[in-house]
Amino acid sequence: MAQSVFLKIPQVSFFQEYAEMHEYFIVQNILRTVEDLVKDYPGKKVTKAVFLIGKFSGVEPELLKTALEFFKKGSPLEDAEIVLELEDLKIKCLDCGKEATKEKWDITCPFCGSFNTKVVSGEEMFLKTLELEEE
Amino acid sequence: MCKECGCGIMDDSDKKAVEVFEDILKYNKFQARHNKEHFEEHKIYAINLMSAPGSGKTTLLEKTLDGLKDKYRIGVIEGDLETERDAERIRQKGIPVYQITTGSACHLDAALVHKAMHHLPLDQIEILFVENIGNLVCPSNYELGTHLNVTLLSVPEGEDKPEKYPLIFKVSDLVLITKIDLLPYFDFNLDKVKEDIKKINPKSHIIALSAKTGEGFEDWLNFIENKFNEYRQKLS
Repeated sequence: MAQSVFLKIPQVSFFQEYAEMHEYFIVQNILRTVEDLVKDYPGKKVTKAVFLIGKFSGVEPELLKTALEFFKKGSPLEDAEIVLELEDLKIKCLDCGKEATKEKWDITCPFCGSFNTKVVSGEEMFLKTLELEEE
Repeated sequence: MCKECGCGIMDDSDKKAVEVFEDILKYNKFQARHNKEHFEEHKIYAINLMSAPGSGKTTLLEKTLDGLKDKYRIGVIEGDLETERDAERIRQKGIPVYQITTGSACHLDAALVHKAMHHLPLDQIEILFVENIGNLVCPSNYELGTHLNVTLLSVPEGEDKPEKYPLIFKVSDLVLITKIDLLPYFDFNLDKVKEDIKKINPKSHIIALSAKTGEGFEDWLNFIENKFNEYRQKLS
C-alpha cells in the first residue's frame, strides 16, 4: 500500500511540471488543430509539420519543440518532423511609412519616433504547413 | 501554395504539402467570442484582472467592490484564490462569486470562464470581474471575451517588468500601477515606467493608485463607471 503511493508521486509531479508549462497548453491546441485537419485526408500520415512562431508570440520555441516532441506520441504528429520557423518583430510606421525589425517589444518607429505604427509580424502562432504521405 | 492554380496543394511524388495557416489558438478565440456574446446578451460589462502573484489583485478587487457595490450589481469569477476563504469574504458582501479551481494551470482560458459564468446569476449582474491566475506570461495569450483587460503592476515588483514581460502590457487596455504608497522605499521611477508602457502599447491607459491609502482609487472607479456607461450606450 505504502509502496503504491510512493510509486504514484513521481508520476503526478512529472505531469504537474508539464501541466504548469505554458507550452503544454499550446501543444494541446496544436494537437487539436492537427486532429481536425487530418480528418480531411484519410489514409494519409503526417510526415512534417511546419509552424510559424513570432518571436513575440509569448511562446518559447525551444520549450514548445520539446513539449511537442514529448506529447506527439499517440497523436497524428507521432511520426512527423517538427519544424519551427521564427518570425521577427516587424513594424510599419504609419507616419513616415518605413518598416523596421525590432529586437525587443517596443513599437515606436526607430526612424521618426512615432507611436503610430502597425505590427506586421512577430506575434503569430500558426500551423503553416502539413506534409502528408500515403500510409 | 500551388503556383498553377493557388489551390494550396503541392504535389511532390506521393508527398503532399498542405498549406493550412491555422491559428493555433483559434479554439480559444472562438470560445472568447462566444463568451462576449453571452455578456452582451445579458448586458454585462466584463473586466479581466491580470498580474503577477502578490501584486494586490485580491485587495484591489475587494476595495473596488466596496466602492461600486451600492451602485451596480456585481459578480466575480475567481481564478486566483488559494482557498475558498477569500471567495467567502466576497460572498459576505452579498456579491455572487464563482471560484474556478484550476489545479496547476497557469492561466484562465475562455472555456473555463464560460463554464464559470453559467454558475452565476447572469441576469442579475451588470459588471463582472474575472480575477485571472497570478502570472505575467501565460494569461496574455488567452482572450477571455472580456471587454476590459487590466494588468496590475505593483511598485515592489520593480520598474523593469514592462520591458521583461511586454506581452501582457501589449494586451492590456489599462495598466494599474499599484502600491504607490511604497514609492519612497523603492527605486521605481513612475514616469519611466509609464513611458515604457507607452512604447509597448500606446493605446493603453495608465492609472497609479494605492488601495491602502486610497490615492488614485477614485480615478480607477471613475474609469470603470465611464467605460460601463459607454458600453451600455453602445448596446442600446
